[in-house]
Amino acid sequence: MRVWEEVNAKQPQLQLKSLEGGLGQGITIGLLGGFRSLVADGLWLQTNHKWEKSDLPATQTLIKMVTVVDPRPTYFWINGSRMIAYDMPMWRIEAFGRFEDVPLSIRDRIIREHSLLAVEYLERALLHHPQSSILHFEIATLYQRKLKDMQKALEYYRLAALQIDAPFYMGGLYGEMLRQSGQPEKAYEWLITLHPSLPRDDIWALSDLVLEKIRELEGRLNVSLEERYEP
Amino acid sequence: MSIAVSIKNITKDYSLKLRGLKLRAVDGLSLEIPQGEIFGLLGPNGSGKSTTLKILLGLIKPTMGEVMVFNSRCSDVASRSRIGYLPESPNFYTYLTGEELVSFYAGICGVSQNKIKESVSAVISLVGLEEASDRRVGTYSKGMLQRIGLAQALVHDPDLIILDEPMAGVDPLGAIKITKVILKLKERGKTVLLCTHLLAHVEEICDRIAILDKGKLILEGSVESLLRETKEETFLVKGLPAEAEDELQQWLKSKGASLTTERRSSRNLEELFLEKIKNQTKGEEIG
Amino acid sequence: MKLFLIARNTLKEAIRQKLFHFVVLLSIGLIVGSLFFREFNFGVSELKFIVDFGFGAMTFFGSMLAVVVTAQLFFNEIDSRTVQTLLSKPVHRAEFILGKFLGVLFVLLFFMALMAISLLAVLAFREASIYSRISEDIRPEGWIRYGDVVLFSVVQWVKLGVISALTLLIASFSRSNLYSVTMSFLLVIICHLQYLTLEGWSTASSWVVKGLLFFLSYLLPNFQIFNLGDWVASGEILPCSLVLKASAYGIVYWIGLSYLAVYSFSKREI
Repeated sequence: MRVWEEVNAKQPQLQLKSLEGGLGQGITIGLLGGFRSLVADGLWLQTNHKWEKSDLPATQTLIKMVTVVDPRPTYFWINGSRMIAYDMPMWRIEAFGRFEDVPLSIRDRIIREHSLLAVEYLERALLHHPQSSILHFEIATLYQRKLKDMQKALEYYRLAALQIDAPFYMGGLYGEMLRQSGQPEKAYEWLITLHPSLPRDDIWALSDLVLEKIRELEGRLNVSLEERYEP
Repeated sequence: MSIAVSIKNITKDYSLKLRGLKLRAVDGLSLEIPQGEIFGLLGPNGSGKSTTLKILLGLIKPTMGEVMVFNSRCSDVASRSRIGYLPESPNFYTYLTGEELVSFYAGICGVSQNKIKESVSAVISLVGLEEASDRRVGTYSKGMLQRIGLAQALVHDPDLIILDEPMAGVDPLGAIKITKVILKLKERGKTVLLCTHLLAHVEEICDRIAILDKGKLILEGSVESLLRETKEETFLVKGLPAEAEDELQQWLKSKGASLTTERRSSRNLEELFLEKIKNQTKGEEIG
Repeated sequence: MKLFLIARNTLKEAIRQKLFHFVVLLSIGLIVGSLFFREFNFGVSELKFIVDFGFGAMTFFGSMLAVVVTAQLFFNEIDSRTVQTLLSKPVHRAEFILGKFLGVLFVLLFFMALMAISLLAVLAFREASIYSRISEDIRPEGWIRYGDVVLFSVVQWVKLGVISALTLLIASFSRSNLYSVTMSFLLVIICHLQYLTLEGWSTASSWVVKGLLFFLSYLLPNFQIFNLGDWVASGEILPCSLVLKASAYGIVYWIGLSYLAVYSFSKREI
């Protein structure tokens, strides 16, 4: 029994009701029979196929189905959200005509609609992966670039940088975002907390670059020599 | 004389899957097979011979009764180490060569590793399959299958050899070879239980016979005593002139006997066949 | 000793079967066919797809092989009456059944080894290919653990052994190959869904149903326990303790089911 508990803990609850009618009986038995990963992979291949054909309704349905069948790989969530946020708006806009010919208000509305859908989709992903830095980062990017909501973007950049699996660059990026959004004091506080944790011998940790940024901010904030940060 | 096989009042019923109905294949059979004899088990199809053999070999259990083989229960697996069995129309593993097959069964019967090669070689030579022993059994003719079957039955030097239709599909030359093997086994003190429809062979080689019919034993005894029911004797006479025939009949009458049948002797087909084959073989050797 | 002679003979017979060749070639073909995933440009995630596909092929075809080969090897002996010749020798019926089982285990081990080697070769090839496009400094280290692929294969072999033992049990009292194969496949599906009885047992209101489900949950093996592929596909370390526990679980069923098969066969009239 204990073995089963351990194995079962790795399997998220299967939401069969939300898949009702969407899958054949054989696939349903396959799902119940423990072939979730394989079924999800199969559905993802179908998603790709529909995406290549710019089939919006089918792509949308399949994206959701894949993550219901197997919500564990973040790969499905990330790429699904990108399809929703970046590709689907273009398909809808192109349905009106050439991109340049479609009125800006319509384009913006469509892009905004899909960006919010993508954010909603990624928020659902966070229920399964609450400590995923990449999911937080993806939401932050959407808020910043598509929804132009810097406040929300900063919040998610911060959350991304705080996760255990966050790569080094996320910390530095958050600091830079704070600086760019006109919050140099917060940027400075953040970077001097971050810098000691960055390994000096890892070029991708960008320790020297972060220190450079700290010095820049010290100059801008007129921090006295005695109070300056000592690495 | 010690007893090799003792069958005491065995009955075997098969359920016919219809309520209460059963088929009685063997009905209260009792018999004893003395050691060192060739015993013929005869009967028409469906008489219970195969069932009796299967019970003896522990393949099926009797509904009632007991079978002992060399004083061990037939259901004891160990009793089968002294038994060699050649089934009717044998099938073997077609993907093995003759030698591999006999080696396999030798190992199964407990022949020790260092003796297997020697034993296998000896029995293959005995049945005359030296040249075919490295060929797959799947390429063998019916007669060769019988012979390799005999080899696997003898490889572990059993004390009781059960042969179910050993001559089936075998040519007359092959049949003679098998007969010689059987007689040799008797000389070595082995007990042979022979099931066959070839009555001429039974008459020729068996010491005792039992006849079954509808699962019951209807006759048992030595061949000699069973067949000598008439007081007739046969003499083959050569060179008697025709005019002396009357004189012969008179002489017989004076002794209280009579001439019942007069027949010109002729060869039977088997004799003719063998003579021709032997001559052919001789001719090829000279040529 | 006789056990190993029968096992060796069973192995010899099995690897000559056309069905075995067909399934092996098909499975290897499918695993190698997973190279087609490169058309999709999934990046490093392509390795997850290859692992899932490879594990799926192993499990599906392995299960098919376990059922069909076991039933076929058993009924070949019965139908050709070679079993009569064998059992007329000093061979216990247990030795016959266990010898057959051991032979099939070797066949399945051979199959799993071939599958594992093919999968590892494809993974190594694609990993090298994908990584050659990524700078050395930012490559994700050891995304797929090859040792865990081997461990997973071992666990699947244990699972296939359970399927084979189940088939042997059915065959020991069944009168035909077709019936044995059909029933065994149905049981394999049921055992994959067996975990639902565990869930049903705890939520059932009736004591009778509760008792029945509890009994079934112990009688039938839960094949989900062998479902350890998710660790490997997601790049996490497959816990050795879990591998050992799942294998031990399977081996307990090997012993139990083969004991039942021996008992059932001992009552069979040949």
